[in-house]
Amino acid sequence: MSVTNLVSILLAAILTNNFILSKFLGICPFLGVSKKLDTAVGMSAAVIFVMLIATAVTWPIQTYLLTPNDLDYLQTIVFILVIAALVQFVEIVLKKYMVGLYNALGVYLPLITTNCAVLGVTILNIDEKYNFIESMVNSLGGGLGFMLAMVLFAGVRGRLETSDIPKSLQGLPITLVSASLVAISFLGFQGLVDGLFK
Amino acid sequence: MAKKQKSLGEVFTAGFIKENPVLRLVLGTCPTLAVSTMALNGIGMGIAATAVLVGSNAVISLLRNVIPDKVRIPAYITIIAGFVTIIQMLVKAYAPAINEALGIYLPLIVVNCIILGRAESFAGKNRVLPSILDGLGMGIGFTIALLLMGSIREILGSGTWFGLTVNSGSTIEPMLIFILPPGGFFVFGLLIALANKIAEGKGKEPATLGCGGCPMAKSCSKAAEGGCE
Amino acid sequence: MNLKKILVPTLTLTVITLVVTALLVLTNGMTKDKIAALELQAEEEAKREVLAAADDFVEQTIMIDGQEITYYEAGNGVGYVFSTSSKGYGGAVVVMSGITSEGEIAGIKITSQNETPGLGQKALKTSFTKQYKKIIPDGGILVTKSGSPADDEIDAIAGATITTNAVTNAVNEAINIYHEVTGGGN
Repeated sequence: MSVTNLVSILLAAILTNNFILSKFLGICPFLGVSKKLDTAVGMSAAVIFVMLIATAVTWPIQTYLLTPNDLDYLQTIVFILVIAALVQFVEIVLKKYMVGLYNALGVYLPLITTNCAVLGVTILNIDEKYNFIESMVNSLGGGLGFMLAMVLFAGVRGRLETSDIPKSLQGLPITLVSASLVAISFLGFQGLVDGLFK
Repeated sequence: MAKKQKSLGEVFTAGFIKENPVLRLVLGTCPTLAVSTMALNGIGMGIAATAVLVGSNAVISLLRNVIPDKVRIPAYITIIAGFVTIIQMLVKAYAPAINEALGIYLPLIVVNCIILGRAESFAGKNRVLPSILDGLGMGIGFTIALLLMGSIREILGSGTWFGLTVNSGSTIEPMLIFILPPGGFFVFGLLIALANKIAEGKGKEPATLGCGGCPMAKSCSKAAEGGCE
Repeated sequence: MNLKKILVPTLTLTVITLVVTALLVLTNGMTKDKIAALELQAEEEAKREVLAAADDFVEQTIMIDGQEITYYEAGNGVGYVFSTSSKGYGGAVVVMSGITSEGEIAGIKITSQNETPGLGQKALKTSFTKQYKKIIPDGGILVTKSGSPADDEIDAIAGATITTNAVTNAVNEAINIYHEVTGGGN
């Protein structure tokens, strides 16, 4: 579990296996919230936050509770309930004790609970058989990749506001087509991570 | 009696085209983009999701007067997660090829907004039979959308349809990009544009990804402030 | 009164969760054996496919670099079967390789993968996997994109280099274990 290994997991999660642009996890917030830069950043911060604590809780549960007792089939239901409860709990704590942070990202928390990005990353960590540190790094990378895609896209959408778009493409369709172009640019990272580390 | 039949029929068919969950309500976008690289995968996912949808709609409708409003969402999620896990186990046991094909997207049906969305907006307020029909109709609509996108991407991207070679590359080479992520976004965007155009012709609104589509809308303070935009 | 407002919802939720969990335990009990049997059957079929000349397989283990590796030896001594994996595009690609006692790869089969359908999944085609049926080259198997592979090379899948590399790495790892098992180079 060398540092190189961790860095390659991090970079892969951010660039080559970007959660939004490669894995299609977290599309709803991506399309819905990426219009303005500040909401994009707020949402992304919330996603990173939730991904990290969700991983920190679900990984030990899987490793020390579910797998040793042959309860792997309960993974889906346990994970989603844990995530939902965790987010609820965090929201209450933030609202009471860290109002500044709550104002910045608390409002996005309910949106993230039922989001494929968070459940996706917790399941992925188990599927890829990462240990705890690797899982946390992967989740951090996933969240950072999410933020990268969101912020880049907010910029693109800002430009779209002032462009002349045919009627039926207005709104959602042009957003999706733009997303496809951003996704192409990320394809360019394919050889990068392997090239750096092999 | 005739009037009741009509509205049940309407409930059933609404999900096919008029209120297609993917192309009109813009729900379930994640699995749609991920799984539509091949028409066959689309059918597999569609069937699995429909099974969960019908089951969860039925149970949630049955329990709609018993589940307290406060714990509505967690209760729905528990029931849906239960169905997804059961379907997962049945698929692994009796159709392992589908399990391989769908991979991580099978458990992710749990957070498929179509299911939570229909539970919240329909099953929680309607009787069991209409809820079952709604679930079935929405599931069929989902499958139709998956099939459409999957076919387009497979034909353009691999030159095959359901695995059978359609375009051997003699005239136009299959374009790989269509089965890669950018292709997914692209085809999806164009399909929604097409659906919008048809809807416009009928005097309906274009599809939007506002808070309306998000199942968490009722408990989201952002939605109360006026939207996710 | 306040207690009731919290108690009722919590109780209802708990009951629902318990009922759902009970159903899951039930379904698990029903399907568990079938799933395990299916996996075993698939594994047996794969072993026979990659080393057709074998009659039956005996499970063996060997210690390599402090790790215990399991492999299968053909009862009639025609060769060995190894299951190895390497990271592909969408996760681990698990490959089963059959290697004869004469040092020839009799066949390979990809037993688990999550690669892109229509792209990386082209690796599942026999036209691709049969490339690996060759005498083990001294430096392991290499990947080329030239379209005309040499004796120690296999031709990569157009546009799916990562998947190709994953399969090749897995096969090379099987070759390494084979060398360890047979005690020396070929």
